[in-house]
Amino acid sequence: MEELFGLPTIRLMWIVVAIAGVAAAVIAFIFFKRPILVRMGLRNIPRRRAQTVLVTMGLTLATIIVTIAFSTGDSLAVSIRGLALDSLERIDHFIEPEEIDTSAGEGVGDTIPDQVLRDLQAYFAGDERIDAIFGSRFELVPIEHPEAGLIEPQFFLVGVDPALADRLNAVRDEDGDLLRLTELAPNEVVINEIAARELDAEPGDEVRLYVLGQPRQYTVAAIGRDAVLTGNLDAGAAGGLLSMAQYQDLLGSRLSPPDQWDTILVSGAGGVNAPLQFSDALDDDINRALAGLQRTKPDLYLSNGLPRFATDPIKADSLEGAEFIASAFTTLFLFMGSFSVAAGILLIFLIFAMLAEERKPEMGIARAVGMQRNDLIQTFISEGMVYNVGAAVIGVVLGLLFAVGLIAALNQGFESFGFQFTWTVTIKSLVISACIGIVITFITVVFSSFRASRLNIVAAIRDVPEGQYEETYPLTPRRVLRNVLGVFTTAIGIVLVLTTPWTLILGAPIALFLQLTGNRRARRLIPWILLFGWRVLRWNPQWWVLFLVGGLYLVNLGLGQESLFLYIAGVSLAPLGIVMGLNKLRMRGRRINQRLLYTVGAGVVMFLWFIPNDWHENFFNNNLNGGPELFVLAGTMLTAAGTLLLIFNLDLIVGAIRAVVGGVGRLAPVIRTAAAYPAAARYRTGMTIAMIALITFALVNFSTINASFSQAFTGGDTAGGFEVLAFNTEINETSDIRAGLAEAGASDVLADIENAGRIEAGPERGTRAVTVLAERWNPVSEEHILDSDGEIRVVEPDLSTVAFDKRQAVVVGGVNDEFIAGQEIKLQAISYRYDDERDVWSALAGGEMVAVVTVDAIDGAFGFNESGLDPWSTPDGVTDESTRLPRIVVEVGLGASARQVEVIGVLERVSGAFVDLDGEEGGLPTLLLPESIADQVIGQSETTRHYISTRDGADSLDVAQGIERELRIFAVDIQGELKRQQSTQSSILALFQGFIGIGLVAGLAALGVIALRAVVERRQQIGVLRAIGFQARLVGFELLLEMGFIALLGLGLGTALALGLAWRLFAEGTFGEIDMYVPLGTILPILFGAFIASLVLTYFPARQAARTTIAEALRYE
Amino acid sequence: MTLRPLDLEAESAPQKSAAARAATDSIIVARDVHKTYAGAGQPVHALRGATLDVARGEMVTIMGPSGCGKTTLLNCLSGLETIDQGEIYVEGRSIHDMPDTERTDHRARRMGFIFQFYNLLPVLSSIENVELPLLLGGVGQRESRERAMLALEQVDLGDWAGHRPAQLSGGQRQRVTIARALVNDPAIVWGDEPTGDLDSTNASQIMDLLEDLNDRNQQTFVIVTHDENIGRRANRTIHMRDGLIEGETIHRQLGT
Ligand SMILES: Nc1ncnc2c1ncn2[C@@H]1O[C@H](COP(=O)(O)OP(=O)(O)O)[C@@H](O)[C@H]1O
Ligand SMILES: [Mg+2]
Repeated sequence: MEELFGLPTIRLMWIVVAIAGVAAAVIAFIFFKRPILVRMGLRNIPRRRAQTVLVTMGLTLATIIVTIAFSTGDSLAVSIRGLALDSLERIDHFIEPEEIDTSAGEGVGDTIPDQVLRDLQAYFAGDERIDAIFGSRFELVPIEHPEAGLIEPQFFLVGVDPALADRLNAVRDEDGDLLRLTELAPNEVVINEIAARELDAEPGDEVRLYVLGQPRQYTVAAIGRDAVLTGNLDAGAAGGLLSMAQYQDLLGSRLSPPDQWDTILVSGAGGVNAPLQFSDALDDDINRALAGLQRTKPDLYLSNGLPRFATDPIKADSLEGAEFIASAFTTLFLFMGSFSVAAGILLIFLIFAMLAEERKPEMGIARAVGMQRNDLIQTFISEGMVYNVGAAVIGVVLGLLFAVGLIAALNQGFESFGFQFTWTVTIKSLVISACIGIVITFITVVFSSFRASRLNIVAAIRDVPEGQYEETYPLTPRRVLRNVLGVFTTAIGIVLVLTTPWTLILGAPIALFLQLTGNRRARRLIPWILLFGWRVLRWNPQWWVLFLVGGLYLVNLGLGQESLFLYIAGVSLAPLGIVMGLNKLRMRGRRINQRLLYTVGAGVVMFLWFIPNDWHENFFNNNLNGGPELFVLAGTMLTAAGTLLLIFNLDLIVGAIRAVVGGVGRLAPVIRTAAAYPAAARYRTGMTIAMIALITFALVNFSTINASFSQAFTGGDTAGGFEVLAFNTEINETSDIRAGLAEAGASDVLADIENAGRIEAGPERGTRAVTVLAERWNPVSEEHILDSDGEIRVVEPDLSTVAFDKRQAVVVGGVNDEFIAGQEIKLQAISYRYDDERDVWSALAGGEMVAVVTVDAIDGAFGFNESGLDPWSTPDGVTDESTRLPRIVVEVGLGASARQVEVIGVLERVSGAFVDLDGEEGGLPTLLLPESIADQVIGQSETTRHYISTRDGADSLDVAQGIERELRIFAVDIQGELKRQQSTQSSILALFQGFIGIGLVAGLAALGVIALRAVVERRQQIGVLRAIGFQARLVGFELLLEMGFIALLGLGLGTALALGLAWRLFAEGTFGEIDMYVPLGTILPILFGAFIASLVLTYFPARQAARTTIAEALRYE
Repeated sequence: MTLRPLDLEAESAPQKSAAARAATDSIIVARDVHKTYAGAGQPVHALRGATLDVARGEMVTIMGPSGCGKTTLLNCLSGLETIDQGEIYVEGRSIHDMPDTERTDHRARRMGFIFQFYNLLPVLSSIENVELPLLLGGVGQRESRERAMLALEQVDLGDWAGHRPAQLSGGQRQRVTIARALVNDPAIVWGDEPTGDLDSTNASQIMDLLEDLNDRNQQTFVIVTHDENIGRRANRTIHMRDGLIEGETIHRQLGT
């Protein structure tokens, strides 16, 4: 991988190495200046083995995640790059017919005249960068392997000059050895690996190619490696190769005019792996050549004033694509993994807090005899850094192991595509991963150390448990003044620090979003401002001011940059800052009720996340945009708010539980204590809940969104009521499936067909259309807007002024009556002139001048322009969410074949997916007309698609195979195909879920940590409980119950937040018209498994608690 | 006040029947109790054959130098610890060969405990602490709450029911503990230095309370203390040294 987040990875590497260096310098500094502190820190490591293991585990998480992300990225980059090179071999550039239609449906412009090839050869004659410029032809030709009884209607047959191919060493066999095309006998064909697999064919086998229904016999000469020249033109496409002369002979001059090419290929000098440094320049040169030719030979190179041919630097694009996919994956993994990293960080905080608790008496004594707090911090940091370095090494190793497993699992998912990834990792990635791990954990350790070293000396020496010793300061005027000043210094400090962008290296993630202020002189001041700001900030930091001012700053920044991320981060922090500030407030010695404060604060944050995005935008009258990083922010903020809400209301929850189950006889005291302990230890309970909730949130949210998508696109609806879809190709046509099957004598197949619908499709590159009449429309009430004179206003552009290229390209299809009878496609909007869907379809069946359109027509094409000048426009207010349409009349086609039709329905995207003739999301809109009208517009159809519903009880796979066998056209069993896709998809999803789930380890470890701590800390209490009559097993059960309770709270919170957010996103239409689907089958096992795992993990501490000997526990240490 | 040596010869005869017989009129009967701790270096013989009887309704204090085995004796008698040798009968039931679950159950129903420290669960309020033994004994929620409140009122802490231990003074905490020890109407209340952590005023208040409860409810109290003033307030003081019972002082006869 060369780039990530738009940053060269090499620079990324140097940045993280530098920061890791700073961390190392800090340790070295402590070591040389105060070796005793380091020794004190290190002394702790061997003392508690379980603790050491847990700390290391928490610290490894970040490194593991980053390593997996980078290694997967490397593997994908290398594998996809290899695939692209194998497939393209010596081909570097394509020259193809332009992707737009050049004239209305006359079929010209699909091929390239030989003159173009000769012009280009002449232009580049003698250019050293080019080895060859040559033409190739391809066509879909059905192929049959009679001996195996297999047929493949979708077979791309390529024709190419054999001598040229041999000179370029352009074709290889499956083992990668060169194939000599000049040695092919006249009746020999090369087929690619996919074709060989699907036909079960080997070299020497006899196969038949069908042209216009006539078979011709060939011998398989060799199996060629899947590549462009062997017909692997689409992912997973079967194909083969004939010498040009044989190709021409087979197809004849009507199907393959001798002076035409399908593609012109350019082969650069220097071989397959040659550096692509010429690529851009060469592409520019080809474009220049074409531009020149357009001027000198406009008849040949232009059509309706537009260029007919375009160049495509295919190899450079493919390699760039490989890079792109790799870095996209790495980014995705980093985003998804950031939840685990966050959970790991929380675990470290928690463990350090526990360590501090445990060492409190000794730390108290150390402080009492004169050790500074800074010394304690340095001791903790030294200890933490030893774990850190160990964790980085272990993390990288574990991460690599995970990555190997992940690639292996990915390969299983891609098995059916015949493609395998190779696991790789670069040194650069290893260095980055290890350093990022070290940096993240260093920062965490430093923060944890600060918190851990904060202790009340008296309480520490007396070893009073957490939260039971609260100092009450008398409010002297001096103290009040100090705090008021602290508010100002904190605010000034933040502003100083925030306005010096370089400071953000200190770790604030917002660093990425701040730009440098240009002025050089100002820049020199930055470090000083920073240092000054830092000092001011440190004097008496008021965290609430930090949150509030920082939050407001982010809101402002976010609004300025239209960044939803910054805005909502600020909006979430500010209320928490206010609450924290109010929490410090004392009125006549009384503080505001904490429950009230934090409940309101957390409630506000959650409210802000759960309201529609529009509300934020409308409130500030601003536009806010975001990407996947919001997912992470949502998880963090919602979990934080949710945890606060739970923690400060835990007694209510506990009360509710007790009211329900508390009366359960003898368990009452167990339930009571099991609920009371977590409620009393807010910090650790909160941390643990947050960790579990964070990961649960990620898992549930991710699963739900993905399941909703796959449900929508592979669910039963998608097929629109059809079971089998069959395509005609240009050279093998069946316009009437029933007649064809009857003629072939396949009465069994015929008997299984209930309905044989058909769409006669116009050119894929589109037919021009333009709006000629559109009523104005009120989006809210879905009614006309009447002008002051009471007339319905219409937009009627003057068609003569609308240029050809200003007309929208649409794909036109003609539907027959059987199609209309068999379809179950939903309409998302219908014209106000029709009562219901049935009316719309019967208007189509009746051959009226009407059309239904795909949603793309509204999404993209119908962008209404208030001035009314946009010639293809939907009336004001018609959106992709409208359910009613005003009168919209469009003219389709050009000249004599143009017809005006009224758009009376919009097909719903999901159930209409298969009639989207363009097939690409956001591609050309499809217009379905009655067949008779479509015939007038498009003349002869390019292809015919058959939409077949089978009779009840018929096997649709049999029907599809029967059609392929008898008619040699391509047929798919839609449901079967959807299932296959779904299974690949779900195995990949499971993989991602597993990846996200790694973070659960942190949550479970946290449970183990607090359970272990509880056993130690509550020894005497357990003794008392046992003395007054708690049975031994009840003591163990109590702890199990307690940890189970915490686990359930975390799992429940995460699930609730994830479903809540998903619900908001779906309701808001973030994912179009896709409905939310909660995959309980995935979520429940995950939750249940996590819960069981948490119990298993607590079982050991619980057993230890149960075995406590009473008398020993009661003895005062 | 007379100090008389205990007639060990007659009382410690290892005859089961005799011991069992004695158990019928004494609520606590211990015969020749031995307890040895493995310790770090050599074994520690904490009890080397302690023998004693306590009558129903009696208030007994155990005194002796630190480390002589007072706590160990108390723990063994109440069944918190197992013994190596000897016999212990409480209310006629043999504690020494009872399985742990049964002993625990017995403690829950028939005994109350007051220790020097760590008596209360810090995470529960006073009343919740007091209720625990009742709930453990299977008493219903509402009844438990009522009885716990009564017990708290008896120790004058009715107004402190909702407070957590951390919010109470040392003396108040010990009074909550006493309420807990008495709430299930136990036959025997064990106290291991119950006033050890208190100043003398608070300590004597606590003793007033215990004495009063002993008078009113006819419950048996066995209290370990090192404070002469406390020791004197019992019916009888048992003196220990080196794991043996050395003698006893009778302050006042039972029922006077
Ligand atoms: N768990 C134990 N392991 C080893 N020795 C113990 C243990 N418990 C008590 N001891 C020893 O037993 C002896 C009696 O202790 P204890 O009954 O607590 O004395 P007292 O309560 O009279 O001060 C002491 O020497 C003490 O050190
Ligand atoms: Mg003692």
